[in-house]
Amino acid sequence: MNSDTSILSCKNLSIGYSNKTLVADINLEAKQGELIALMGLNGTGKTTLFKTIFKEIPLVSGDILIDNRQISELDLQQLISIVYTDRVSIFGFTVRDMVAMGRMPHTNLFGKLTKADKELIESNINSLGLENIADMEINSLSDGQFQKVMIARALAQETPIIMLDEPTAFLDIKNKKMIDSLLHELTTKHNKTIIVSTHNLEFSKAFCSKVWLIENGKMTEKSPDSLSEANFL
Amino acid sequence: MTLSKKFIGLVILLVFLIFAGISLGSVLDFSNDNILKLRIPRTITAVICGAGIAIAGLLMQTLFRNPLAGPSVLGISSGSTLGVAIGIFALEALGIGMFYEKFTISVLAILGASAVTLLLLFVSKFVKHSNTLLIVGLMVGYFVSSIVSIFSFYGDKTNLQSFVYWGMGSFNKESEMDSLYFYYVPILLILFLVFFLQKPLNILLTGEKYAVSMGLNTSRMRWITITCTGILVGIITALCGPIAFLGIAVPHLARNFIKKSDHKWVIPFALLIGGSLGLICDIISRLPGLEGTLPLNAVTSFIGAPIVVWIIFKNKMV
Repeated sequence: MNSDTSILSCKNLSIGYSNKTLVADINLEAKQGELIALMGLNGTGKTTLFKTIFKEIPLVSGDILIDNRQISELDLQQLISIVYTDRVSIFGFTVRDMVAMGRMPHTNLFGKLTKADKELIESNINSLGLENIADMEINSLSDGQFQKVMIARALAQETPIIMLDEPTAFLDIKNKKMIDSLLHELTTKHNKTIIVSTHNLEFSKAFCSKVWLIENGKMTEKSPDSLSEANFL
Repeated sequence: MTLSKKFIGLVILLVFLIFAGISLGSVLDFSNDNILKLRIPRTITAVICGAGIAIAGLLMQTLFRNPLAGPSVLGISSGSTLGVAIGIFALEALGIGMFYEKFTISVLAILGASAVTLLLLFVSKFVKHSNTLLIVGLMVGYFVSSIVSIFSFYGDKTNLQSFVYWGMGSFNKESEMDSLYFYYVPILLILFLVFFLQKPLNILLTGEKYAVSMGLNTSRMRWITITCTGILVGIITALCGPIAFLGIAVPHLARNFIKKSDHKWVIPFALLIGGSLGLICDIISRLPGLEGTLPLNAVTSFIGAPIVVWIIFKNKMV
């Protein structure tokens, strides 16, 4: 259920590290409820774009706007949540504890969960089908289950945008397909804007409304159907 | 057993140990006021410093997300030791009398810990990952230890003896309550402050990348954590000498006892277990029948080293 509202936009944006621009002159926008694949060869700047949007590194030039406001003015934890490729190992942390971490940006000084927080956590656990493993330790989960938990955590953060950095990189085919359909469902059912950094062209063609493709230091918007493996050789 | 029952059990254990700490010793004459005047401050020191060093270890392990992180690993204890070495070996050369020695050594130990902490804080501005900072801390520790060795090599024999004695550690180096407040107040203040850090510490468990995405200012948190650790370790080392292994071992004992890493629970349990273990080590060091007192560091190492080995095997670090 896409709307025409632009939620994230990059205007004349250049990104990179200490005077070395990786991608220049980005002019793109993401709308509410869109599933966007961010594609490009390794080292072309996909993770750098995520880091720049997250203010981990400064942008070289241009603007990044969320709801037409500069990101420098915004508390991003209320607007964007993220899921990374690598696992997090915490002794004694259950699935429920990890999903609850998503509420931390909304809690008081001591991180106390309100009744509404707890209800939201349970609802996210249920909506991702994690209820049977909610009390299991995250260290004992399979990679696929773990990524589902991290997506549930991102959902619990209640942000309109979710960014995922190669979330299925280490998963087997079955779990890859499960996460792929789940991401699609989040855009249709929860109206989230999802940007996924991926090398999976099949996923882009099956589920994404558009692809942001980085090649030769430029980032352009493409229709998934217009792309072929030749673009990544 | 529920967490509240475990908590109450530990409180009862600590109270029992406090009575045991005051009652037990090579002298069993309770009518002797002097014995009580010595044992009460010693017992309080063991509880407060045991708890303090445990919290310092917990802060380091959470910050570095490394089960083997601890105050000694970061070189903060070595910083204190350098301060003490400067005090012991330089005092005579400067002609400072015994009256000032105790105070001067304490201040130098705190300054030594603070100097290493400040150095780490400075380095942390240029270092992105906590594990890199951990390695820098280790190197600082080695560097500072080499300076201490040089001092020891050229130092006067009598001073070397007192330095070696100080290095053995004891909860009984200071028994005047008026002097002890100088140490207790900042330790207790930091231990109180740590309760307000439970939320950011929990967020840090998920790693720096996720912590940033949840709005945590990781640089500021690093500052706060290292500063708290520096003050705790500096003051405790000044008061008791370097205490080996408790900082690493107690947070693990706490987590394994409650089967949780949530700081809402780990902080109070680490305080109780740290206080109890500090006291147990002190009681063992002066069991009835022993002539004199065993070095505290020998006892903490005897108990703590097997725990650290267990941690290594448990975390499959072999």
